[in-house]
Amino acid sequence: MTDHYESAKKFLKEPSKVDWHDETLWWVRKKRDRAAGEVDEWEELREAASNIKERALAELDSNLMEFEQKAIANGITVHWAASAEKHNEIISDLLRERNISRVVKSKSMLTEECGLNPYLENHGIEVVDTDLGERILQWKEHAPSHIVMPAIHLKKKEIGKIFAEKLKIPESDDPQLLTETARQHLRGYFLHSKAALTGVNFAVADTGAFVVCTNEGNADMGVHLADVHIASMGIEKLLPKTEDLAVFLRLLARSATGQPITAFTSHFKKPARGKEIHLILVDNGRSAILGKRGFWKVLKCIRCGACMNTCPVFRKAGGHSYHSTIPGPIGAILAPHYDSEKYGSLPFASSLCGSCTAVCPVKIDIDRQLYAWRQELTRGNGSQLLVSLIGKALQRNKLYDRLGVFLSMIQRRFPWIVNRVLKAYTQSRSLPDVPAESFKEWYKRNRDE
Amino acid sequence: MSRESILGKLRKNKPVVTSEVSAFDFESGINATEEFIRSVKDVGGNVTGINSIENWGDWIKRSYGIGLNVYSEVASLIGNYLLDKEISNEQLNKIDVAVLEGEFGVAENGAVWVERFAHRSIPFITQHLILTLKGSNIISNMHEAYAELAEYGIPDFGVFISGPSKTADIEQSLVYGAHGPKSLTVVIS
Ligand code: SF4
Repeated sequence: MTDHYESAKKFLKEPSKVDWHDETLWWVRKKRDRAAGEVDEWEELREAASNIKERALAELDSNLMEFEQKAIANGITVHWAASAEKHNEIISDLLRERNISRVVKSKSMLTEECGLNPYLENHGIEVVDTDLGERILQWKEHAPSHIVMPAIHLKKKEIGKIFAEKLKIPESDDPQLLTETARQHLRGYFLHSKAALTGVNFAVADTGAFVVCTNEGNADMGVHLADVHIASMGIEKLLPKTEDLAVFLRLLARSATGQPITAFTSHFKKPARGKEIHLILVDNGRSAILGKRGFWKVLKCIRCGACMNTCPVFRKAGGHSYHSTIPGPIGAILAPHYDSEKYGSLPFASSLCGSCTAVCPVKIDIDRQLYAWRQELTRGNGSQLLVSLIGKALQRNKLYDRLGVFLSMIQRRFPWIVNRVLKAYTQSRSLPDVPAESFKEWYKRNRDE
Repeated sequence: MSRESILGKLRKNKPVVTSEVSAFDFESGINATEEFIRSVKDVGGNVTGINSIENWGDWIKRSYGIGLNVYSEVASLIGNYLLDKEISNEQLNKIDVAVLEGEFGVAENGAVWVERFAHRSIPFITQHLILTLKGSNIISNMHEAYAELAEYGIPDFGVFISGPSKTADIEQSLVYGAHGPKSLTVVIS
């Protein structure tokens, strides 16, 4: 098990960066509040979004069939991938059949989840990430640390360094200049790529269309200049009706960055003449989560990142401390479904303050699921036994007294034992001193006076 | 087969949801045009009335510079740059200013719906984008927008454009012109 506490320490080594990260994400959270506050019916929208998603998930089988039928009729080729491997294989086959050895790609957390980039590289296909943040990460060989702001863990000096190294330009930390440099550098790739990969933000069953949102315009630059567009979509992204898009598009960008909508919200229904669109419907564990009582609502997530920006643990510990594709509160309730051993510490990386649940635009009960995961993960192991023993001791007067006397004695005489047992707690805080007498003893002595 | 196994699992695992979903009830704002103008400016765009452009050629020069390739699909605002029948990427990449017709504008977010272009890449590949819009085609919010789209049908490809291309990937500093247009101007007629 990779322990969240242990991996957070790495990020915490640079206090000034931690403060910056903390403050910047809080500033984004405040922008979200302002944007939400400008919409009178904000709470009704959240309620509607939650209801639409729950209903859509309950009808996902029939919705997917309707979507597939419409999309095919529109000239889109639909593929189904039960697993990440299958998804990667489909893309690699499509490219190899067409003798394509380089692709431009816009941001997609699903392809991260599937490990698409390393897979394609292993099969001799070069992937060029075109989202500015992701391009930087590709150069630095880092994973995204946030689903909306992938390079939020980097400072502009570090970014300037990598630009200088990769593009042979003088070192600069001017965001304007660096962005312009990236624009020119990536334009060449856009103009000459035969295939472009994108994610999907939403798809609608009633028309077979799908929607891709970006601020940079990189998804569109890629797909319209290429011959083949391959879009990867998690099956949970499907909405029943076109009009549902209104609800979700009003919520998404406001929750994510405080913008009223992303700069570009593109609707794909039919391929342009002479071009191809391939859409891959990916399950990779989603259908199994759907069957888990108390947990399936995690599939409502629209990946806005608001729960990360508001989370006190995320802001202080950084996204990489979660070592899962999707970090933060949502990642903490999602990742254990895939590997409860590896991601077992994530549901404990929370103060259970509930801030995530309060901002979530689709009203996922994140805090309740964090708590449910804790119970699930400790079932039958030592810590649950301990908790039940403590529970018993609390119910029995005498036992409680004796235990109290015993433990204070231990702490006074052998503090190192306590420190070792409670290591995770005492490393960054000290335990309060044990008073000379307990309240009960004091009370007994003073009661008659 | 992935398809059958996925659908089978979904059928078996899907939860029972009893709550009803009804169409979202919304109110239309008043003064949609005023709000639209404010929204476009908030997202980094410019707005101008067609009447304030006296001489189109001069206006282009003043706004963007001289010697530029202006590509236009709007009859009243002519360009000087044409695309061949067989459009190449290189040709598209030489567009400095593109003028396209917007179908309608959305007041709450400054977005303009665009669905007619000779090539789908034009609103993205151009250095600067101008969208024309009839003042009477400004609506309040996204619910109305989709009601509008439902009436005419979702086109093969269409896009809401709200402000110029932007990024904040470097330390959250906002920079315009990431990959798409560096500036966006909405001309209201
Ligand atoms: S769980 Fe909610 S707040 Fe978090 S990313 Fe998903 S939709 Fe956004």
